[in-house]
Amino acid sequence: MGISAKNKIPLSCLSPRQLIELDACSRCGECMKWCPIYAVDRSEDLIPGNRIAALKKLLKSQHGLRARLFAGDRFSKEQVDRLIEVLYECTACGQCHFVCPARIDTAELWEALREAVVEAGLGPLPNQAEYLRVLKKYENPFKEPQENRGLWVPRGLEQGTLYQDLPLITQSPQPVLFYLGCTASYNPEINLVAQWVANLMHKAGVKFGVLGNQENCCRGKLRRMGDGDFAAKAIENIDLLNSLGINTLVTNCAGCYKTIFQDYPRIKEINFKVYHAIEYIDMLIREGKLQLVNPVPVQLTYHDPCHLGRHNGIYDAPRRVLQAVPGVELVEMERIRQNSRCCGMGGGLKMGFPEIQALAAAERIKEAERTGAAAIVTPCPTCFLGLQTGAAKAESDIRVKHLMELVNLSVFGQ
Amino acid sequence: MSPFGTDLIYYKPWLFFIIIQTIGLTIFIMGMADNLNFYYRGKARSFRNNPSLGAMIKVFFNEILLQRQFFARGFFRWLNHILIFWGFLGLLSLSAIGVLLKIVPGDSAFFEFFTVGSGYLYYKFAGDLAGLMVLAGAAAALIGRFTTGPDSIDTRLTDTAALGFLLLLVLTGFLLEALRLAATPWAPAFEYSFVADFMAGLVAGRQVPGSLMTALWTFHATLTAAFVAYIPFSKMVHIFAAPAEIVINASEEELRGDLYGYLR
Ligand code: SF4
Ligand code: SF4
Repeated sequence: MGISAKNKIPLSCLSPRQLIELDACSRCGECMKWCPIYAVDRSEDLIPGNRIAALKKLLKSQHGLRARLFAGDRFSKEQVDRLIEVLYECTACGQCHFVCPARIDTAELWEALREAVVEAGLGPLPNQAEYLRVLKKYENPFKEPQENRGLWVPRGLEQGTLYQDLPLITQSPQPVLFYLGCTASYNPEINLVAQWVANLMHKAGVKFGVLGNQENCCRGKLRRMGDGDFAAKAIENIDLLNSLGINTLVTNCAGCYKTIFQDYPRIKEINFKVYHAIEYIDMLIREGKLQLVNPVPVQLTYHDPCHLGRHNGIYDAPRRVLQAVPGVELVEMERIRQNSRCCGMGGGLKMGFPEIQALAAAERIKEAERTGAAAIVTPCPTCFLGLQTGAAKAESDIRVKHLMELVNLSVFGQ
Repeated sequence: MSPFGTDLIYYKPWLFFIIIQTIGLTIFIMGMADNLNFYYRGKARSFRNNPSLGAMIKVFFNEILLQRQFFARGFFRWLNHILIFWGFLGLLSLSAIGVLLKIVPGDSAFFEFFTVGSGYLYYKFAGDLAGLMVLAGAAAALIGRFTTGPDSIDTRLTDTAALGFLLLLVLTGFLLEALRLAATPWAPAFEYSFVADFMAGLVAGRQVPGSLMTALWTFHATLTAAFVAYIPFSKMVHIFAAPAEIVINASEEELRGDLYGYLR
């Protein structure tokens, strides 16, 4: 039995460009060599080119000449279910875009297709749907109460890890907002990273504040998994952020950065500049406002997060910061910059396929091991967590470090 | 008579040719119209920002005409594709000239240049060169499909069929021309048709019945029409869609600035 008419996938969620992209794929197979997910799950239908071909066939069976000529669905429910699963077994890392001779903007295409299948009632996958339900209900994926979001500040001060109190920007307007995101707000390990960033910004004399309990989730995961509520939810955030009178927003999370920097302006204009913390710290170092004085003798390798690198072209700033730390020796992996192997944390893959994420991250860890480096370092909290899972999966001794820890050590010596 | 001898050595069913080409072209136009209709059902924005004409022009030159993106993936990958691309474009242009010759007045300079003038020689040379390029590119791509292993190229049947189609089309074209040359007293101008002339040498002295040549000509004409009709419904549609996508994408790459060094 085919899928019902109410499950017709609307083309309106896609752009004419994206529909052209479905025809632009010549199934040359280049993407097959690079996809980090196909590398660990060799199902042929996961190859990006095959995925495009199958989705095109499905859409054309529902729309246009073929749908009229061959009325009736030629896809069984099982086939459609598998196609949806395949669409979500992908981190939207964008690697396939960079190697594709037709330059198909796959990360955007997958997200638009996900939105279309969600609208048709065919997606997301059950685990992802539950994740999104929790996210919308609690404003974070950890089921934590919103009033606990700002607790990290008094806690950090009490523990002595946060060196200075942070003003609430809604009470004491500041030119710069430090936006944490959910993971840094609630996960103690990642929160420490946020505290390092705050300490460094203070040290450089930046006037900034936080939103505390008034900070919302950036809601980027809604977009990544195709949830149609993203635009409305994003507008709520944009209006809040635009009303603060800030000129700069700094965020420590690569996912929040992509959402605020790239997705928000497509929905509504934003009136401030957006920086990822590593870009901002790089700027402060170059302006001479931060001195990295203490040596950190370590040989390490750098992992480019997809949301910073491929999606936003931030490759050099983190490397500059690393090289500014005395004692650090950077050894690069085989796949870096545009070809950096994804750790599997993006695009909602972790929620739908945790085992595949672990395998993908383990591959990255093995690559890092081949450099002989003692540690792998990244400026993204999500990659940081993902790589830790990978190190455990690969039973590797390599240390996984957040880049801010090194900067913090070099500036403060502790 | 043209410097290439006569075309009238076997019967050509022109009426069949016109009918089959009209059918092929009609299916092609319907298919492409359906594709366009499909594309324009998309309602989201195609461009994130205002399109950058400068970036689009640069990318058109570098990535479509020179196909640098293939070069980045390896010399042979590039050679394969650029041979098919330019060869195909050449054959298409020559076919367009062929159609024009059927339309323009018989006493026009254009007609004379390409029928009895030196244009005929260039036409034949270009035809053989373009055909050879497609042949070499398609053959190398086909061989690649079966020799480089499953890890690099998808060998699904429909994709292989498209390449096979192209190969057969060019091969029958060459064979026809070779048989025609073989059946005509040799003239120095034949050297311009260098592939067909070489092939004619291989069949020289053998009597090929006119009916067989007519059948081959009809087969070639049918194959051409079928190929044209097949384009909108197969992966061959990338001939149009991929360049369009590459050019549209150029603006985005200019913003990001890390894919094309020359856009920085
Ligand atoms: S690299 Fe691009 S054109 Fe080639 S198969 Fe993959 S998506 Fe299609
Ligand atoms: S976006 Fe990344 S994970 Fe998804 S198909 Fe492309 S290469 Fe594979």
